[in-house]
Amino acid sequence: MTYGRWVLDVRTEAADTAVVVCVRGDVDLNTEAQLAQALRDAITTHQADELVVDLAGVPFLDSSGVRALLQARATAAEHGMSVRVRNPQDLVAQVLRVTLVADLFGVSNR
Amino acid sequence: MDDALHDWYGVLAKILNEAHLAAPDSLGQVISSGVRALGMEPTIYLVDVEQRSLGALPAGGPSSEVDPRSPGEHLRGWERLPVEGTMAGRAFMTLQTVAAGERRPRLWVPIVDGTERLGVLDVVLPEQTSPDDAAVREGCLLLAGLIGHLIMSKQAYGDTLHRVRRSRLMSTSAELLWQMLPPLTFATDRFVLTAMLEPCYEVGGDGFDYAVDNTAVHLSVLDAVGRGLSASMTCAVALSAMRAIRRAGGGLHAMAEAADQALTSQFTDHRFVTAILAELDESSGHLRYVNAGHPLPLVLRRGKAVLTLSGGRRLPLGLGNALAGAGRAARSDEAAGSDEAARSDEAAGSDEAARSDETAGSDKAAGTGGPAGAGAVGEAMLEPGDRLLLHTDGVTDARRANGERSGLPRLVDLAERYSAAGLPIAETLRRLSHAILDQQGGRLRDDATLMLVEWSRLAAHRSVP
Repeated sequence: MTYGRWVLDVRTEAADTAVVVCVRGDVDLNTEAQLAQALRDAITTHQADELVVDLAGVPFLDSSGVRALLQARATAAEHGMSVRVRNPQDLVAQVLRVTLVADLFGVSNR
Repeated sequence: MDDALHDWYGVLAKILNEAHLAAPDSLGQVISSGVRALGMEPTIYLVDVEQRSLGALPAGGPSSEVDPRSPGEHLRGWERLPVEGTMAGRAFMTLQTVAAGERRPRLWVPIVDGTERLGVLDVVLPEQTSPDDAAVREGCLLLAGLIGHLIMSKQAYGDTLHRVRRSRLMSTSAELLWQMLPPLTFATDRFVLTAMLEPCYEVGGDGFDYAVDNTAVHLSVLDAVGRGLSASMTCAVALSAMRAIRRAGGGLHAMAEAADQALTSQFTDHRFVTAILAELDESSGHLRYVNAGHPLPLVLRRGKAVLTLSGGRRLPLGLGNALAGAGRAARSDEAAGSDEAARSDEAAGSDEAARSDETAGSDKAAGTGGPAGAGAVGEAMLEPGDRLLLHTDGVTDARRANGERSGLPRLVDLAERYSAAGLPIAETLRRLSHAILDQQGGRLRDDATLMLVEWSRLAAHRSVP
């Protein structure tokens, strides 16, 4: 039995001083590596001040997704970039809050 | 000493003496030869790790024959009785001795070590003996108690007792994990604690620990990021660091900081472990706890979730020293993180109370003090009979047949449903765990751990046969 797709739909585009990565699909153990690679690629192939990770299309994200974001944050810092998460769905925002990393990525703590 | 007691004394003495030099695979034989003097025939059944069937321990002693079967086949060679629907299973589930007498009178006697449910002892009695004879029952219960201790003490010395309890190959990750963990169930006069962890043969990442010293019950539930052997190792590092500090007298935050240090010294890939670390004073019901990025624990009272424990927040273990400045979640006026009672409107049922976790949980995240939000300790006072329910997100993220997340309200409903039967707490948890696992065909997205602690003398005593 599969829970949704095991592949994420990831689109990357430059927008002003930011590089925006739009993710669609469940972020979990099965898709973590794909997300991590996409974020790494976005950081290393774009000159930008900020990496924006748009999670509007992500209904599920667990601790492996949190780790991917943290790794991206570290890589981004090496390239002088900050990382922000945009449009998280309620469940995803909750995961970021429970693990206390929400404010690292610009997600409010309500 | 009268004859009957003298006979039992002789039996137990013989078993104890022979046990010194018995390898694990001789245990069946040692018990048999001891009990034969009373005209009884015993068979020891051990419950499998998944707690669905009972496997018979061979009574014949070690065999010198080389077994040519493959590892998988070997494991299927034992006589097994399902827990559901058999008399043996009934004895296991209820911790009550069950009398039977088809051709010969016999007793099915639960085997525990302390309150850890190990299996069932089948005793075929002499022809004219009534299975309702009080002295016989008492003697058999004593025998089962001794067998329970012997099984636990012999486990480390050989593989037979492990083999009987496995229906298939255990992954390296699970082998590492189970070796680390304490037994699933423990009780004192005043409280009982029980845990379950699935999937039994493939766990990797989840873990739990507990330790009772004087009146302090230390307990923890852990969830390492990732899965498989890598996650098991992460969990092992965190657990070991915390144990060492705890055994040196360190408190909750010291334990968490030790885990931070150990994890960052070993791993550079931002791996972390979410965890609840708690201390319950079993004499007063006072609970202190730290939450390192983990799903909130619940207090259940008369079947309803009355408190979500939302204080004592800090970053997940492993991130505490790496992310200075993070984790300062919105501070509330209640800096010490005292707990917010969910609406205890009984009419609204457990849904309402449990939902407070999913929506309002972070309000009370009190990140005072240093970079990891260290210093804040959550507190709560339990009332007699209260139950503390801890879980990992594999439980609530489990999918139902309709594709939806299982979620917290459903967990609370299930916990209430299985508690109402007045069963031993370990049985409540066994049924609850299987219900969650079965609801989507036995496959989980992630490891699922449950720990239930009941601060109740009644519940503690109900856990003893």
